[in-house]
Amino acid sequence: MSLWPAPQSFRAQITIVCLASLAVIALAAILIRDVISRTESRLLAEARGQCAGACRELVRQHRERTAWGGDALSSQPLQAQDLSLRGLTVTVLRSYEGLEGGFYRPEARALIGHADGTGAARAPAARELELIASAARQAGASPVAVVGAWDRDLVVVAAAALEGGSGAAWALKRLSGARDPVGRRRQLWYGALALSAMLGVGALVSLWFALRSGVAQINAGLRRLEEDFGHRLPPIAGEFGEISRAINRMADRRTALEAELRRQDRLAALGKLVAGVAHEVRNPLNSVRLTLELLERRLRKGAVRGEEVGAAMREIDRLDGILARLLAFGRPAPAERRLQEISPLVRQAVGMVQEPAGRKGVRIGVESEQEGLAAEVDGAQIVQVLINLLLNAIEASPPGGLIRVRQSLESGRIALSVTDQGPGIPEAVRPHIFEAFFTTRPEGSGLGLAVSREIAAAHGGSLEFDPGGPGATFRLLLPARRSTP
Amino acid sequence: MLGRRQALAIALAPAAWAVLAKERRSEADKRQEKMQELRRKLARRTALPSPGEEQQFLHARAAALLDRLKTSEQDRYVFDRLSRAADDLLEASEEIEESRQGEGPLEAGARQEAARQLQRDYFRVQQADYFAGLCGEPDAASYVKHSRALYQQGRSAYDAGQYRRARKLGEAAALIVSALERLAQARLSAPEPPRLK
Repeated sequence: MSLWPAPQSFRAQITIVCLASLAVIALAAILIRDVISRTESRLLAEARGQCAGACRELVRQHRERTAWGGDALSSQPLQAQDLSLRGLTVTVLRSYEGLEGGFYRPEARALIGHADGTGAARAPAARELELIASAARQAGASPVAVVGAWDRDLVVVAAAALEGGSGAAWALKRLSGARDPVGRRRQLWYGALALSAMLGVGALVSLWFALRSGVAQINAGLRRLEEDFGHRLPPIAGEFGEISRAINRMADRRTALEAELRRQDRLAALGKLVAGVAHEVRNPLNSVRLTLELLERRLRKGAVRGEEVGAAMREIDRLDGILARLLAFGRPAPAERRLQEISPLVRQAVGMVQEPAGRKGVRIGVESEQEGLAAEVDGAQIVQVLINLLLNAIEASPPGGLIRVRQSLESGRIALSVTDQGPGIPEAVRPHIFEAFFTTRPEGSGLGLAVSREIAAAHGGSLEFDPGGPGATFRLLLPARRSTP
Repeated sequence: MLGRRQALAIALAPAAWAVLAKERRSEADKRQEKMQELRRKLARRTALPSPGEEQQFLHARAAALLDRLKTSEQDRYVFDRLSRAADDLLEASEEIEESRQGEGPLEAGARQEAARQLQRDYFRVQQADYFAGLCGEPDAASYVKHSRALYQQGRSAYDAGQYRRARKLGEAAALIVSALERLAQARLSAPEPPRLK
């Protein structure tokens, strides 16, 4: 069970994923900044601690050196003092890697005994000398640390006063330039973050467009398939291609199944057709036979009358009509389709049934919910279907009744409905109304609706009986196309 | 015509010259006295029976320094540094000699005093390498070696409870380093340390 109501929109889901990813990147940036800041603080604290410790040791060793017998340091020339104290500083700072130190004589404003743990210290820069002097001025018995910052360079200096007010001991640590792990780490982190952010955003944008494009292609293909089941989705790369191919396979299977069903329908219909043909043909043949027998008897008597020959001829015409419809049902004329508006076809069909409608006093009303509906159809066949539906409706309508012909667009399909005010079709009859030779009228051939349904199917559409409402409603559904300009 | 000032200067010149010459003689005499003192010290040390390896080295180096002092009489600073170095070496020899004497009664705090001094001497011995690198002596490494050896002997004496001997040997080790420091100062060619502006 989902604790969080996932958005149904695929676009919304992608947006949420993108926003979440950007939030992760932003949080990572904040976290890295925080870590770097803490690292800086830690390094500074370490440097302060190291410098202070070195200062204490320098003060202690200076005290020992002063207390040691022999000639006093202060009685020696400055150069000699410098050398002696350098020896002291070198020895102390061997235990403090990366530190420089020495002593500061305020009366001479001079550094003395300056060295590092290797004895190869370089002379401090002017700004570092100022920092040392500043720390020495503030120095007391306990070390005082000051920090100088220039660009990305940090310098930590600690100083502690020597006993007797003879100056101060100092120690210095540089956290600067290429040797500065903070700066280098900061650059590496920020560089890696910027690179990963760029790659992440690029990947998200790419994913967004790929998904959007794939979904759009699938959607467009499905819409087209809905209108025209012969259409197949175009080949698409990646996972969407799999979906596209699966949809195409489904459509192929459905087409094959429909064809099989139609074939089986035809076989089933054929049996009924044969029975119908036998039934339909036997009656006129019986009638012709009786007429011919009557004619034979009259010929023997020499009293032939023209009416009997005429009756035989009518029965033969009727047989010819039945056979013509059979041919139309079994082998429909090849369709000549073109893109055209439906309204003129409706008007043409309505015009052609005005005479029988007028005889019965039935009115035909045409309604259109949307103008300019067009479809790729064989106009003559569609008119034939509409005439069949209208003639049935006229037949079923009471005198003075109204037949409504309505055009509309439903889910990408053009719907043409013909509704009469007759008694409707009994429920028991409904399953058979599209079967060949099924009719409820004595003079009907039972082929009109069957032929009409075949024509609708051949256009990628359908012909349905709508069981709702009073009267009977038949709906012809056709795939819609844009109207011709 | 000479002015009164010039006449006065000419009159006082012989007197001034006499004062300066006397001072010079006094300085030279002092150096001679210092050299005599050192020779006597060296003679006393070398007269002692069965000197150890370290003492022999110290006596030899002190004798060599005395020879160098003769050529350094004109440079007051160098003479001072070299003479003090020789003095340190002879004192070191004396400390070694005294370390061989009996311990005597154990005084209160002798152990702590020996430990404190050995700590100071240890730090001093740690400086030996630095000064040896600057002193320019061809056998500077031997100074370092003997200094370390003496400190080690002092440390062993401390472990054995011979605190007086430990202090004497530690002091001898520190004096050798001091001699190295003075030798380095004597040949000082380092630039003046920087001054803050």
